[in-house]
Amino acid sequence: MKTFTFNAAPGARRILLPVSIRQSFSFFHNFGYECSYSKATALLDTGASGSCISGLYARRNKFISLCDCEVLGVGGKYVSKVYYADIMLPGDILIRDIEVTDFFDNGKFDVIIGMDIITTGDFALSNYNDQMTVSFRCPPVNPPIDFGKLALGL
Amino acid sequence: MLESETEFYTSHHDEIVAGHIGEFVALEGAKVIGYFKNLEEAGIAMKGRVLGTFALKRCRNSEDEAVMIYEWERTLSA
Repeated sequence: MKTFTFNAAPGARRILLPVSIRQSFSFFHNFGYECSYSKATALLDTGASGSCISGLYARRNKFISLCDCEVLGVGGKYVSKVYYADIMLPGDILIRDIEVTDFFDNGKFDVIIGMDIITTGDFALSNYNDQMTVSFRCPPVNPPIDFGKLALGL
Repeated sequence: MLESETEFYTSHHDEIVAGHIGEFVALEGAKVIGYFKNLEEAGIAMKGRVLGTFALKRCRNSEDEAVMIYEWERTLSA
């Protein structure tokens, strides 16, 4: 099992994580691509069904799209490019061959970690003393995290 | 880029994905090149072709095709 625990900046209202991302090695190395990792800032977003990469970040890092898909966002529908990527989370947690769509740049984060990745593990968010702490383990473990049982010492 | 493949996939979705949910399908124009269990298998099979001349999509049911993103930001301005 691999894990990471990350303390957000004081007063943070977003979960932003340092990650590394590259084009999917298992596919693109067959076409002569080196597929080296680039650093990125990722938003952990339970409101996203799939993971995403900013269009600007994809262009800068020469990601190659292999198809399109439809994305439903706050502003409505749009057609997005689809990339295949490997994402390295903190704690050396490697998520391979994930599909990522693109989103409009906002200057705040490069990647959105959606539920397709979050559901590969267990995820807890704590906010004691206004310090947001995120903890993640992969793969999931039984029993599930249950704060009610923890409060009763069970 | 890849408009004809996207159009073909969308208009023939049900028949293309039938029996292949979760697999990858490679398309060139209005033609299915092949189905692959994973990206590694697809990469080996498509090696030698030029990237950008074919599309590679994961086969999904219609209701799972769209990605949803709902990131809201509240702006407090004077």
